[in-house]
Parts: sequence; structure tokens; C-alpha cells
Amino acid sequence: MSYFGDSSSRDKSKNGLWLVLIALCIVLYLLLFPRALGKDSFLVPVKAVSMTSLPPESTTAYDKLFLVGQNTVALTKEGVPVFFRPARTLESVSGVNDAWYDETSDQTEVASASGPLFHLPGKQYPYWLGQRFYTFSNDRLGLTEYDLKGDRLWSKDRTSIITAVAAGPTLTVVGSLDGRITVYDKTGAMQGSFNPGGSQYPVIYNTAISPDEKHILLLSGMSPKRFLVLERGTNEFHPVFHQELSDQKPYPTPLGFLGGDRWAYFVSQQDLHLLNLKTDHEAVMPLQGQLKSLIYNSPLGLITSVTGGGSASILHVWSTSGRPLLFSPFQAQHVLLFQEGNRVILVADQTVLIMKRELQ
Amino acid sequence: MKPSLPLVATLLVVASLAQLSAYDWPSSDITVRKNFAQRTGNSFEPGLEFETSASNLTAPEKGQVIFSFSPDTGNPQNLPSSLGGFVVVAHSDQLRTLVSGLTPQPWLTSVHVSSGDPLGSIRNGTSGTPTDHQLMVFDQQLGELVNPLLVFPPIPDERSPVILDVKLVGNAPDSSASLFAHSHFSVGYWTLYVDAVDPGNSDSGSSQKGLYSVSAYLNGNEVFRTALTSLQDKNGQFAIKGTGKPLRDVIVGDHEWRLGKIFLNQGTNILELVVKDFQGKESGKTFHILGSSS
Repeated sequence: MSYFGDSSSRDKSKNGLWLVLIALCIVLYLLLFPRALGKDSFLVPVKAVSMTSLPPESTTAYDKLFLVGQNTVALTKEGVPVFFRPARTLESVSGVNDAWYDETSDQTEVASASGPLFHLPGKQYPYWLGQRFYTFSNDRLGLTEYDLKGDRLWSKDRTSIITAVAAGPTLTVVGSLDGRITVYDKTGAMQGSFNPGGSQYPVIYNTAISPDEKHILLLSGMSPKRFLVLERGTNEFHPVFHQELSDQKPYPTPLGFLGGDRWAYFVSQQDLHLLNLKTDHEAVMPLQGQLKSLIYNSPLGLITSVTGGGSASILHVWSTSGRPLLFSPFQAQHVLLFQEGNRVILVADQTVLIMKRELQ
Repeated sequence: MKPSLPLVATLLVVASLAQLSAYDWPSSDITVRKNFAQRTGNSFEPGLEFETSASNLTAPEKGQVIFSFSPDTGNPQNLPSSLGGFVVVAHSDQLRTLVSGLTPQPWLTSVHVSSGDPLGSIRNGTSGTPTDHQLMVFDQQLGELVNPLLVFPPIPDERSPVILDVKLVGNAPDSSASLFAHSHFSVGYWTLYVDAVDPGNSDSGSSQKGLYSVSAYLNGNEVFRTALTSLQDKNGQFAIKGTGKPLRDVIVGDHEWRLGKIFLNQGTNILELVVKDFQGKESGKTFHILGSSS
């Protein structure tokens, strides 16, 4: 039987039937095994470590600190846990940097892996953003930045509470209840101010700044809520993309950059939106529950996320086009993901699972 | 002492507005602990700090819930503060009210609330003592923090403010003296400080609250008058509306106001001070200061 040669009308109908059957088989395969038909990326578990038996302080060097639920965990860059303890009062961590409020001495303690850096008497609300250290005023109306010696760089009081902050290497973006973002440099000089407008109720819900400080993302306003991308011009940031959202959540929802400033992501309703900032192409991925953690593998173009609610979590791997590649439910309430090379490290409550990406 | 007619008029207008206001306190039993702009250490109260024995706090006026924050949800931008959980309602008159120290209702979407609708439940402090709450009022149009007492119904207050001390500080080191103890000063410029509190309805020292306004007259001329109606953002600092002065430069201690420089002449100088709480209760002191060239 020839599929493409001359044939009778009966042969043609048989051929059509075969084509339909083959198409159905492919659809069925994609539904049952939703993964790329090219090279498959697998997450192969390498090691699982329970942290409950770990010491509460470091005995060996570590590379990262994380807050997971009500606990603090220190890990090597390979994901091996070093210590695990209940989080300190108002603790904030970033990399190996740590800060917390010591009630007995009424001061904020700031430390790195090598030991104490400085302390701030009378200050209570520390906050790390990358390698930059800030304190909030009691009421979220004020923000102060310090250098890593504890010297105050700048301080601002505002007449609208701060609802979102983000920092790049030199800029700090402060979003507030009045619907305005203000950009400060490392001296506290204002580098721009922007009010997205376009909504009945101006509010900034979340903001992010790209590592190269060329783009700022915003979730702003209510009725409607809007997603905006701002681009740095010669003098100030101006909008280059905006989208009205049906989301009506009156609180901050996830937003950020992936792959430098190649991709922007945000969550609206129950969907993860992935926007290519070069082409404005947008992929939408349905989420089950809230987004708990998200990482992006640039060489493979893969997004790995954990979603869920309460102690039910789901590990997803997606392509950047939004195609689901892996779906794996598990039990954990507090979750975070990070990656180092081809390793994906999943911290889930009191367990660390180290996985390796493998291509087959 | 010169009558401060504009201030009286302002208070009357404010009192009338408060009577007409549709705003109501987020709980029926409110005990104000700190007044608007009251200083504690390096912090200023941006609204009112209050206590209540209620188990829920309610919407002060109809409006749209535009922000709901709970530190326990794991949502992004979990920024630290003393506010705990809080809810912000946007009202039709461009005012926004923030009520803090509560566990917000589990709203999944921005909702419209009516006056008296529950905003959230109150978690008592771990020691069993009532949790402090804050009520802030933002003027979205003017970009100001507004004294909530301008908007909310009057709170009965039986007691007048108390002037605790009045000081003159000169340029020379240690040239500081209380007018309660000294009446002779050298001719020249001195900086005038007033230490005063509003004792509220309680004898408890912890309930001593900040003042609403302070006025000073030297030899019949007004040298200082400030009322704490609103705060503005001036180059990243709180500035007192109407004067433009940084709040931090005027209220320099927990109950201490720096009224600025005055010039004492040769002979008798008459200094009159008037301090008021929001309800208009006032206390005054008059000092006869003898200026000498020695």
C-alpha cells in the first residue's frame, strides 16, 4: 500500500483513517506523557538530607542562607545543608549575609559567614536585598540604607506606606500605597519617579528591577490591576509594555526577571505569565495553588517551579513556550528552589533534596 | 496673651467636620495611646496608636479594600514593620484609611466594604496584654498623612495638656536654663524649648500623649505657632503642613518641642506659651524674663 502514490478512492479513505489514527496516537501520547519529543530533561535525585539532626550553628563553611518557613538553613552551593535552626526575630538573609533584631540589647545585629559585621542600636526591622542592607521604620513609612560597615548611606521618610521594594547593584526601587514608584541611587538621590496610572485605585503591589538596571517591572493599581515594564531612557524610566489583568488580589503577588532581563514573569489569577522582553511573546502556564518558588535554567530554557497550597506542593518543569514537561506532587508546606550548575536543590520543610538535570 | 482666633476657628471647623463625618472608629472602645506625630525615640506616630478590647476591627467608612497584608501568608514583599497584619480601604473622598494589628479577612479579591464591616480579627499579644493598633489616614490627592482626629468623631477628653518645662538654650556650651527656675538671662538670641504632654484620661505615665498645637508670643508678638494637622513629604522627610518645617526639627524629644530662636531684650521680656490638645483644651504659662547685658 502506498500512502502517497496514485490510489483508488477506497485506498484514499483507508489512508485517511490511518492518518487520523496516527494523529490520535500522538495526541494520546502527549496527553499521557506531556514532555518534549526531542531531548528530554530529567531531574534525577542525587541525595536527600534531613535537617533535623543538623547543628544550630555553622561548624563548616556555607555559601547560602535561606529562610524556610519559621527556620533558617545554611547550605553549601552544592546544596549540602550545614546548619538548621529556628529563625531569629525579624531575621532577614541574603547569600551569606544575615540580620536580625536582638530584643535583649534592642539592636539589629548584622553578620556574614565570617562573623558579625556591625550592629544598629534601636533599629528593629532589617532587610537584605541582594548585597544591599536596609532597615524599615516601625510603620513602613521610612527606609534607610547602610553600607556593609554600618554607615548610613541614606534615609527617606514618606507619607505613604512602602508596599514593595527592589534593588539592583546601584538603584533602589520603592513602591508605595499611593501608586508611585521612586528610584534612588546609592546616595539616596532620586533618579526618577513614576506613577503608572490607568487604574481607579493607584497602588504598587510588587516591583522588580533587572540585574543590569535597565528594566523595572510593576504590578500596580486596582480596577484594573496592571502589569508594566519600564525601560531606562537617557534620564528616567518609561513604560514600554503594559497589560491589564483580571487579577483582583489586594496583596502582592509574584513578579520578577528570569535569565537576566530576558524574561519577565508574574502571576495573575491562577496563571504564571512568562513574557519574552525581546519579542513581547507571552506564554501562560496554569498553576495549581500559589507559586512558592521559581528558577530558570538558561542553557536548557527550562522553568522549574513549585506551586501548591498548605502542605500540598507540586514540582513543575516547563519549557519557556509554556509546555509542561514534568509534574510531580509532594508534601511540604515551605519550599524553595535554587540551582547550581546542573544541580537543582529543593528545600522542603526540613529536608533538602539535591537533584541533577540529565538530558537523554 | 493674644487670642489665637484663626486657631480657634480652625478647631471649630474641624470639630464641625468631625461631627458631620461618616467615618467611625474601627472599634467601639478605643483608647488612644499615641497621638498623631507624637515622637517616641526616633520614631513618629503617623496616625493614632490605640488599644481596644474588641475581637474584630471594622471598616471606618465604606470603600474598596485595596491592600491587605498578613505577614504569615508567604506572599512576596513580606516587608518587616510593627504593623503586623493590616488592611487599607480607599474611600470616595480620596482618603485612605489603614487599620493595623489584625489578621485580615481572607479576601481573595479586592472587595467593597460598608462602614462597620469586619476588616479582620485581633490576635492578642503573647503576654495577654492588648495588642497595639494603628489607624492612619492618607490623603491620596494631596499626598499627605492626615491627623485622624480631623476625620473621626471626637473622643471625650477631660484633662488639659500640661507644660512640664520650658527651657532657653544659648549658643555657649552649658548655657541652658529652665524658665521654671530662672528668670535672668543675658540679652541676645536663645532657642526656646517646651516640654509638654497631653495626659489624656488616665494618670498612667504611659498614656501621656503628644500635643496638637503649640503657640508662643514674645512681648505680644507671635514667635511660633504650629498645629499638627497633616504631614507632607519634603525631600524624604516629614514636614509639618502649614509651616514646611521638618517634623524632626520641631519635635526634638519624646514630648519636647523646639520653638526656634527668640531675642531677649534688655529689661523685662514677657513670654507667653499656649499648648493645646485636639479637643481644644489648653494650658498656658507666662514668664517674665529679665534681660541683662552681663
